[in-house]
Amino acid sequence: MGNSSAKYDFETGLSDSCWELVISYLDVISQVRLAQVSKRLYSIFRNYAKRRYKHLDEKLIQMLSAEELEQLLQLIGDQVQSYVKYSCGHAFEQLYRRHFEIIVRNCKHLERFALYKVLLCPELMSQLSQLQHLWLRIDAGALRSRLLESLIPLQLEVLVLRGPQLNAEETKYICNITSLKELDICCAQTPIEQFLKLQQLEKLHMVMPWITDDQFLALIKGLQRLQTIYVPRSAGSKATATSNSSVNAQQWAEESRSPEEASAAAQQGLPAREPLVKNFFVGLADNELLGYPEVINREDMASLQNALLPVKDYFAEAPLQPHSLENLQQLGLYGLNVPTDYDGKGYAWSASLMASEPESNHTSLALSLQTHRVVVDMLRELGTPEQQQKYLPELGSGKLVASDAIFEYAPPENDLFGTKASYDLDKHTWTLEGEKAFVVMAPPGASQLFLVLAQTQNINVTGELGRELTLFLVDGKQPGVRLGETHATFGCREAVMRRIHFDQVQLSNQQILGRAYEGNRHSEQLMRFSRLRSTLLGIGLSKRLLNHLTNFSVETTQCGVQVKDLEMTKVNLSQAMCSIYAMESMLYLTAGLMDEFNNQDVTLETAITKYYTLQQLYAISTQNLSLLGPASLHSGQPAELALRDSAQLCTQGESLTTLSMFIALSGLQHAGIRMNEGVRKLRNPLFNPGSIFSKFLSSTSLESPKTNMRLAEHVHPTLEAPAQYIEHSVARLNMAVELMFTRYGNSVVERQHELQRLANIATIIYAMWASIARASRSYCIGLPLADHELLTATAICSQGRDDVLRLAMEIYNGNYINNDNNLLRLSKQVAKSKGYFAVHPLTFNF
Amino acid sequence: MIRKLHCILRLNSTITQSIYKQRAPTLHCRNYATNEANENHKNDSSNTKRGGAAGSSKNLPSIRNPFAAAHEKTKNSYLTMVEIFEERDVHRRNHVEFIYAALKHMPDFGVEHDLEVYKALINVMPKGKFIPTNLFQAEFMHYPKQQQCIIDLLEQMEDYGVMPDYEMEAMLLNVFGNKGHPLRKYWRMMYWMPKFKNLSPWPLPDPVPDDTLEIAKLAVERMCTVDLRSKIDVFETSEIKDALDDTWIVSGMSPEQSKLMREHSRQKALYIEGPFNIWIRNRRINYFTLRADADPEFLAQLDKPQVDEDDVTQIGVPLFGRAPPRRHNQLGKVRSVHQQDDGTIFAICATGTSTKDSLLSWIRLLEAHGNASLGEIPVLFRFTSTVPAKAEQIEGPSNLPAHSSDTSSNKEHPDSKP
Repeated sequence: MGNSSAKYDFETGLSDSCWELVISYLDVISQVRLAQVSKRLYSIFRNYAKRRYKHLDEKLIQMLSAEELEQLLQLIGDQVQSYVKYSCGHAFEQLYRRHFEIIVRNCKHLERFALYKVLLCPELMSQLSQLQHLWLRIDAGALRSRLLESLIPLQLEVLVLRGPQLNAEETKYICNITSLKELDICCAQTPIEQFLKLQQLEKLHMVMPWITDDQFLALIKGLQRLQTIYVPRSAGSKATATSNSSVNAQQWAEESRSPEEASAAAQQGLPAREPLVKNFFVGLADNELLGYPEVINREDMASLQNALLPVKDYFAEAPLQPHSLENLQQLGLYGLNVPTDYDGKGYAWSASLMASEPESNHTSLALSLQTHRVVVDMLRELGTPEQQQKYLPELGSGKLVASDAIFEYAPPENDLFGTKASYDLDKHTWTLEGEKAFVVMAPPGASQLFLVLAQTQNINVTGELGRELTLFLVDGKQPGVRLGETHATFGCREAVMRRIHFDQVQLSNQQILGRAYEGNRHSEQLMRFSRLRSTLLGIGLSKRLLNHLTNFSVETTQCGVQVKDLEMTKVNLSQAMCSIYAMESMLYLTAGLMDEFNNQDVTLETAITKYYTLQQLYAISTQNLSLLGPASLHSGQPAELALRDSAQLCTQGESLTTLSMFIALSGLQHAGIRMNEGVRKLRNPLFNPGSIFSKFLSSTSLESPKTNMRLAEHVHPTLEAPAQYIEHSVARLNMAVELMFTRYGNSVVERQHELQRLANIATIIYAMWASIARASRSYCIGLPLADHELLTATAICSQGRDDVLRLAMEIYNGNYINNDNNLLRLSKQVAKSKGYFAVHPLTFNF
Repeated sequence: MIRKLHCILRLNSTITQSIYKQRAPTLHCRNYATNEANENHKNDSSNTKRGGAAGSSKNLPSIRNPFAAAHEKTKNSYLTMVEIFEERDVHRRNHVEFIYAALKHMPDFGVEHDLEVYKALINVMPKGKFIPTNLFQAEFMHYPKQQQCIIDLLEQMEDYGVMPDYEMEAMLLNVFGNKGHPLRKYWRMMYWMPKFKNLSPWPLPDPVPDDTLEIAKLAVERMCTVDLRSKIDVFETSEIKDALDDTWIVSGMSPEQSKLMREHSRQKALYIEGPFNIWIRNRRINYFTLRADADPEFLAQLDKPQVDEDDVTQIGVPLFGRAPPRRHNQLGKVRSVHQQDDGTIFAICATGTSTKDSLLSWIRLLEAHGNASLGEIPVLFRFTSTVPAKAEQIEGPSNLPAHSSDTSSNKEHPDSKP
C-alpha cells in the first residue's frame, strides 16, 4: 500500500516539466520502461520524444538492441522523421533487417532514412509514403531492382545509393522518380534521355565510366534546374571534380580518354575513396576505413578454405623436399589469380593472398610463385583480350611460368635501364637489345615468359623527353634470348636467379603489355603488385622465426631459469608479435581496399606494407642472433637460413631506402597539390601577415595537437585511447609536412634524411591504423584470443605514438638540433678522404 | 731557504700595481735585449761579409766565426764545431755570440730543420747558473742576454717549423728554471705548433721527395682535389711516335672533364695556357691548363634558379629508386666545378721540360687515352712567358722546369697547331 501511494505521490506530485527533466537524465531504455508505467508518463515521454527523438541518429541506434528499438518505436514511431545509420557493423545484417521491419511498421511519417547494407523488403518500402530522403547501401541483385521499382510511387527528393554499379534497368526505375532533387548514384551505361525525365534535379553526383562528351553536355543542357554536377572519372580515381554547369570541355575530354582502362576496372566494387595514407599527409583520416574490410563473403570463404586443404596438407607433409613442378601444377598454385574464364581460380587480391599463405613457409618457392603471380596480375590488368587468351590459360596451368625482368647489374648513368628496344617503322617490329639481372627462373620443365622493361625512344617526341619505358612480354624460347650466369645469392637459394641476355630479339607489337612508351606508369602498377605480394613472404618468414624463437625460449633453461621468463626475452617476443600483427593487418587491409573499391589508390599503402614488413623482418631475424647465440649461425640451422632469406628479401626488388623515399615523396606530392596555397603564404610571411598571425594565435602544437577526426567512434570503446593516438599522430604528420614545405619549399625533395623520417611516421601511422581496425573487428565478433589482439593493438599504438612524436620533434627541431648538420658536415670529409679519415688513436704528434 | 723566501715574496706581491710596475721594466729589458741581439746580428753579417776573418771585428774580439770558415758544410761538421766550442774551456766564454753565429749559418749547413742541432746549441748554455733564485730575478729577466738568445733560437725554430720535444723542455728547465722566459716561450710554442702542424688540407709527405716527377705528381694531385673523381696519369712522351722531347707528363683529368670535353663545340678552340706556378714546400713547379673560353650566357642559364621555389605542386616521385634530380634551372643541369666564370678547365699537366713539344705530346696522349673528340677541336697555345719549343733550347742541366720571368712580350701569342 505504501509503495503504491509513494508512486502515486510521485506521479501527481511532480509537474510535467519536472518529469521531463527526470526523463532527460535517464538513458533511452530506462525512458522507455518509465513511459510504460502510466498513461501520463507516456504522454509526457511522447512530448519529450517529439523533440529529442525526431531524428534517430547513429549514436542512439547503436545503443539499442532490436527489442529495445522496437519498444521505443512502438511508443513514438509515428513521430520519427529520420533514421540514419551510415556506418557498417560487422555481422549485423540480420539485426538491421529486423530494425528495418520495425521501423517500417511503426514509423509512418518517416521522411529521412539511411541504412547500411540491409536486406530490405520492397513491399515494406512502399509503406513509407512520406519518405523524402533515402540513403542506402545495398548489393546488386534482383532484390535491388524490385526495391528500386517500389520507390517510384514515393515522392523522394534525395536519393543516395551506395554499392555496386546499377544496371540499365535499375537506372530506368530511378529515372522514373521524377520528384528527385538530388541524386547520387553509380551506374552503368544508360541512355541519357532517361535522365532528362528528372526535371526537378538540382544536384547530380554520378559515376558513369563510359559517359562521353556529348552525353555529358546533353545532360547539362537538358536538366534546367541543375546547380551542381559531379561526375568523376571512375578509372583514374584522381578526384577530378567538374563542378557547376560551366564545364571545361577540354578537361572533360581528357578524363574520358581511356575507355579501355575503365572497362578493365573490376565490374563490381564501390567507387574509389580518397587515398587513405596519402591523406594522412594532409591531416585527414577517412574514419570509415577503420572498418576492417570483409571482401570475401561467407560462402566464398568456406569454399576457399576447402580448396586450401589439400595445399596445406601437401606443405605440412612435405616440409623440405624440393617441390616438383607437377605437384605445384596439380595444386593449382600457378593459377590462383588467373580469371575463371581462363581456367584459373579467379581469386581476387585478398583471396589469392590467403591462398598463397600455405606455401610461404618455403620462402624460395614462394618467391618464384609470387613473381609469376605478379606478371599474371599485370596481364589481367593491362593485357589485351588476345594476349590474355594467348598466355593466361598456359600461365594458369603452370606450363608457362612467368617472371619479371626489371633490374640490371650495372644500370647506365643517365638512363633508367641499359636494355633498349628500337622500333622498325617499316617492318613494325621491335628489336630488343641488352641484359637483365636477378631474374627468377622457372622450375625445370616449364617454359618461361619474361616481362621485360626496356628503354624506348618515342618516335613522335625527339630528345630527352621521348625517352620512355615500355613493357614487353618475351617468350623464353624466342631466338636471341639467352640465359646467362646464375647469381650465387645469399639467401633464397632454391629460387634460381640468373642473368638474361637479349641479342637482337625481334618482337611484334602484340608483345607490348599495356601501351608503348607508357612503361613508367605501368611499372608503377607493377611495383605496386609486387610489393603487395612480396610482403606475404616476409610475413611467412617472420611468423616462422617467432615460432622458432618461442619454442626455443620455452624449451631452454639457463641457470635454472627458463629463457621465456627472462624479461629481455619477454620483451623481444612481444615486440616480434606486435610487428607481425601489424604487418598482417596492413597486408589484408590493403588487399581489402583493392578488392572493395574500384581503382582505389593504394600506391602508398602497398609501399608502406612492404617497407614495414622488411624492416621488422630484419629486426626479428637479427634478434635471433642475440638470443640463440653462435648456434644460430651454424650452416643449415633454421635460424641461419631464415637470416639469409630475410637479408635476401630486403634486397629483392627495391631497397629499404628506396622505398622510404618513395613513400615520403608520394605523400608530399599529394600534399603539395593540396597545401600549395597555405605553403606559399607561410613562405612569404611579410606579404601575408594575416595568415601568420592566425598561425601564431592557433593553440594547437606538436605536443598536444587538436584533432576532430572522431576515430574512436569507429572502433570498439576499449580502443578509444589508441584511436586518439592515431589522431594525434596524423595531426603531427601533417604539421611536419607543413613545416618541411615551409622551410624548404620544393627543395624538400633533397632533404632525404628528413624525408626518411616522414616516411617512417607515415609507416607507423598506417601500422597503427590497420592494427586497431583489425583488433576492433576481432573483438566485436569475438574471434579467439581477441582480448589479446586488443592488447597487441594497444601496444603497437603506444609505441607508435612515441615514435611518431620523436620523429616529428626531430623534424620540428631542425638540422642544428637533431644532429643532421653534424652528419652532413662530416660526410664531406669522409668523401674527401675516400673513407675513414681519423688517424690511429695512439698516434704521436711530436 | 731561498725557495721559501721566494714563495713568501710571491705571496706578498699579489698587489696588482706592483705587478704592473714589474712588467714595464721587463718589457724594457726585452727590448734592450733585442736591440743588442740585432746589433750582434749586424756584427755577424759584417763578419761574414769580410770573409769571416777571425778576430777582425772590434766588437767581438775573442770569438772566431768557425761556421763561415768551414770547408765541409754538413751536419756532422756543424755538430763537431759545437762540440769543440763546448770543450774549449770550462767558462765557455762568448757562448751567446757563438749561438747567434751558429743560428745564422744553419741554412748553409742544411740543418735548419733539425731538432738535434737546436738541442746541441741549447746544450752549450751552462746549467744552473741562470736559474733565478728569487722573485725579483724571476720577474726582471735574470740574465737577459742569455735568455733572449735562447728565445731567438726558439723563434728561429718556430719560423722553420721545427717542433720542440719534451727533452728540450728539460734542458730549458735546467738552464733557466721554471720561471725562465725561454721556457714560457717553449710552452706557448708547444700549445700552438702541434695544432698548426696538421692543419693543411693538402699535407705533404715528410720528407718531401726530391725527384721533380714525384713533386710534379704531388702538385697536380693537389690541384685536382677540386673534383674527387680526378685521375692522375703519368705519360711518357716516347709513346708518341714523332715526339722530339723524351720526358714525362703528369696529367690530371676527371671523367666529368672528359664529359665536358665531349660536349664541347667542335668549332670553339681550346687553349693551352701557362706556365703557371705552384709551390710545393720550397720547390716551384710549372703547370699548364687546357681550357676553353666560358659561355657566359649558358652559365647564366645554369645559375638562374628555377622560377618558383614556393611552388610545391610539382614534386617528382622516383622510379626504381632513381630520383630525377630536382631541376635547379631551366636546363635541368648542374654547373660543374670545372665550369668557371673565366673558362672551362678540361685538364692540367706538368711536363718534365715544359716545352711546346711536350705539351703537344700531352694533347696527343689525351686524345689517345679516351678523349677522341680532342682530335676534332683546334687547340691553341697561349703562353704568359717564353716557352722553349723543345728541350735543347733549355740551358744547363737543371731538371727544374723552365721559369723565365718575362711576362710582357709573349702574352696572347697564339701558336696554332693542327
